[in-house]
Amino acid sequence: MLICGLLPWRPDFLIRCRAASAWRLPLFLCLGALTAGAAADAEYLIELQDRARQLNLHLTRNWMALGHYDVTRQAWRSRVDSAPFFRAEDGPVDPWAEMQATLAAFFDPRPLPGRDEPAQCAYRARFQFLSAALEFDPARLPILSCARYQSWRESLDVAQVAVVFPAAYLNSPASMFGHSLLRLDAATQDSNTRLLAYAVNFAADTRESQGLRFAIKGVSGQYAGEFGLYPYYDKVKSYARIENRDLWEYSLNLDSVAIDRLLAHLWELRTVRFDYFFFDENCSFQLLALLEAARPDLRLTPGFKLWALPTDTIRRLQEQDGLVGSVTFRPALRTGLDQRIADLSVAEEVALNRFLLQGRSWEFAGADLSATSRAKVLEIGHDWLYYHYRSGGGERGDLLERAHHVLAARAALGGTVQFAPARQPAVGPTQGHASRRAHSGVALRRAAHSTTATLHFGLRPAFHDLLDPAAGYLPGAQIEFFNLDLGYLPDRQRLQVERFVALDIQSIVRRDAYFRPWSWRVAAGLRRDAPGVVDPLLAFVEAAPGLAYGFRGITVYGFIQAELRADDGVPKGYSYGGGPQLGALWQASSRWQLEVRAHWLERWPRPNAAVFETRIGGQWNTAADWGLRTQWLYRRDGSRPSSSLKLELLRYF
Amino acid sequence: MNRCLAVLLCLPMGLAWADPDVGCGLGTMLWEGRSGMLPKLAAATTNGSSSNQSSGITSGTLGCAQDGIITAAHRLPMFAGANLDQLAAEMAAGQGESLDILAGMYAGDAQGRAAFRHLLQLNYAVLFDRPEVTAEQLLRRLDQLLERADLRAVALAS
Repeated sequence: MLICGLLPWRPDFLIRCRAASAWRLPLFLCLGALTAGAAADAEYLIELQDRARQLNLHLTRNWMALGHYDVTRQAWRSRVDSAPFFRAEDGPVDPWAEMQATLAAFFDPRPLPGRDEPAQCAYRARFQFLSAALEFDPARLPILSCARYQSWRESLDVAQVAVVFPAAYLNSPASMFGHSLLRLDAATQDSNTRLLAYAVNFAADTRESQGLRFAIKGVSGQYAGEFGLYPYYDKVKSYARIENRDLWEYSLNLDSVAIDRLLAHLWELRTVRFDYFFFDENCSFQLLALLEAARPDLRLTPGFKLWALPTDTIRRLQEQDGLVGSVTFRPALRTGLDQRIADLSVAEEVALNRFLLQGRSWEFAGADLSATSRAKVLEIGHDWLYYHYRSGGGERGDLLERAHHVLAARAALGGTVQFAPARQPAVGPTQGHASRRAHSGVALRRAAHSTTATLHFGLRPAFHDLLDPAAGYLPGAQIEFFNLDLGYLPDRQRLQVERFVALDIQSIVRRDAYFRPWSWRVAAGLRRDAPGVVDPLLAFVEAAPGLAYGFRGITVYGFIQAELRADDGVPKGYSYGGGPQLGALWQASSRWQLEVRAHWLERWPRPNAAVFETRIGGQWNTAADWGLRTQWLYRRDGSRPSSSLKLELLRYF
Repeated sequence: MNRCLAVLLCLPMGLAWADPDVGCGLGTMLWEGRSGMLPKLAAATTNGSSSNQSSGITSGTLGCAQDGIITAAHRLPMFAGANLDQLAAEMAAGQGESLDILAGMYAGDAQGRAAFRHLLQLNYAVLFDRPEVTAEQLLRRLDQLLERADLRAVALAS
C-alpha cells in the first residue's frame, strides 16, 4: 500500500498493484491510496489484463508481429533494439509483460516521454489490436483522439500498397543483392501520377557508404536501421536515372483493414531503431516484418536465418495465395536508351553517331533528316549525355553545355515523337533460378598416363554464375558467395575440400560505339592447383580488368589477370602471377549456356612456371530447378600437362 | 518551413544567397548531385540499401515535411527540384511523366495540361536560357510565363 501510495501516477504503478493483488494482498488496500477515478482505472485494467491472459492474446500472431518477436529455442526475443519501443523493461523477451504494460499505458492520457503523444496514439497498432480483441469500454477507458496520426493517415490516403524492387545495375553484379521498398499509393493517384506516391524505405543510417569499415560494421549490425518515408520520385530518380536499375513494382492485394494495420504499425515504428544487418535483418527482411503486422495470418519472416536476399523476400510474397497482383516494369534510363538506339533507322543512327561520337555540329549531323527523325536523335542525344555524366563519363560543365544546346534544338522543332513502349524482359528478376545451389558429380582426370576419378559434391549458398540459367539475371554478371566443393577420391579413400571460393564476382559488359564500360572480375578463396589431386589447399586472391564485345548472342572478352596466392614451395610462402585471359560466353537460350575460356599465367618466383589452362563448359537446364553441367579442362603447369572431364547435376533451391 | 517561405517571398531579390542544400527543392541546380562510378564491391556487402536518412519518418525530408508528408506549400518546389533534370528534357520533348505531373499541379483538366506542355516547349529557350538553372529560377520563370499567357487555370493545385 505504501509503495502504491508513494508512486506518482505512472502506468507501471498499476502493474505493481496487479502484482500486489496476485500476492494476495487485499486489492482494496492498494487501491485505497488512489482517487476514485484511478481506482476504477486500476480495476478495469486488471479486468482487461485478466481477459487478455484468458485469451492468450500475447501469444497471437498479431502480437508477435507487432513486437517483432522471434521464437528461438522456446524463448522470445524481439528484433527491435530500441528500448523506448517497449513499455515493460523485459518487453523484448516477454510478450506478456509487454502486453500488461501496454494496457496499463493506455490509461495514461499524458504524452509519453520523447514521443509527444499518449500511448494510445504512439502505439497505434497495438491499441487497435487490443481494443478490438478486448472490446475496450469507452466509459471505463476513455478513447483519446490522435489528431497527428489521423492527419498523417489522411494525407497519405493509401488505397493500395506495392513492393518495389530495383534490379541489379549494369556492371555491378553485387547489386543483385539489391534492395526493396514499399510504395504507398494514394486514392487520388493513377498510373500516370504514381511518382507522387510515398515510398517506405528501411535503411541504415551510416553516413559512409563504402570501405572496409563500412562493410564490417554493416555485417555485424553496428549500424542502426529505421523506416523512412520518401517521395517515390526521389527513389525513382536515384534508382532508375542515376544508378540505372530497372524497377519492378509488385502491387499487393491488401484490403483496407490490412492497410490500416500496416500504417498504424508504421506509425508506431516512427522513431524505432533496429540493429541493421546487411545480410539478414536488412531492408527486405524488415519489409516482410512490416507486412506481417498488416497480415498476421501470413508467415513471411521465418526461414531467413542467415540472409534475406530481396529477390527471395519477393518470392516469399509471391508464394502467398493472391497476395501479389499486377507487376509493372519501369525501365532504367540506360535500358530505355539501349532500346531507342536499337530502334533507330540507319540514317538516324548515322546522324547520332556523327553528332555524339564524331563531335560534328548538329547542323551538319542532322541536316538530312526529317523533323521527326531529328527530334528522336536529339532526345536520345540528351539522354546519352546525361547518362555519361551520371556514370562518371565526363566533365559536368562540358556535358551540360552540350545537353543544353541539344534540348534547345529539340524544343525548337516542336511537336512530340513516339518511341516504342519499353520492352519488359520476359522473365522477371524473381522468376530466375533459385538463389541456392547444390551440386554433385564425377570428374575424371588424366595426367602422366594415369586416370583418376573423383566424386564431387557441394553447396553454393548464393547466387549466380555465368553458366547458371541466365533468364531473370543480369547478362554477363556473376556473383558467388561461399561456394564449397568437396571431393572424394575413391583410390585413396580420401575426402577433401577441393575448393572454397569465398567470393567470385565477374562483370562482363559489352562495349559498343556508345557505351564503353570496363569489364572486371575479382575472386578470393581456397583452392588446389588441380582438382582431384592431393595438393595443398592454398589461399588465393585474383583481380582482373577487361574488355568485352558482343556479336549477336555471343560475348567475347579478354582480361588481364593478376593473382596472389599462398605457396609453400617457395621460401616466402606466397607467389604471384599475371597474364592474359580470353573467353567467349554464349547464353544461348533459356535451355543452354556455353563458355570457352583460356588463360596463360606467368608465375613468380621460381620454381613456379607458367600455367596454361583452357576450359570449355556448358550447361543444359533440364528443368526449372535442375541443370546438367559438363566441363572439360586442359592444364599445363610448367611441362606437366593434365586434362579432366567433369559432369555435374545441379539443383537450385 | 519558414526558410522556404522566406525564399519564396524574396524571389525578386535574386538567389545568389540561396543555399543549394535547403529550400525544399528550390535550390536544386540542373544536373546536380551524385554521379561517377558507383562503388561496386562495397555493394556486395552492404545490400545496396544504406543511406543517410537521418531520423526516419519524422524528418526524412528535412524541414519540408511533417511526419514525412511534404507540406502543401512545398509540394511543387520539392517535385520540381527532384525532377529538374527530367523536366528539362521533357519540356523540350513536349511530353513525359514528370511534365504531366507538373502540368497537373498548375492546370486541372487534360486540355489545360496539353496547353501547358505546348507553352513550355515553345518557351523552352526562355525557361532554360543557359545551362545552369535552378528549380527556383525555373518556377519563377514559369510563373511569369503563365501570367503572361493567362493559362494558369488553378494556381498551385494542392
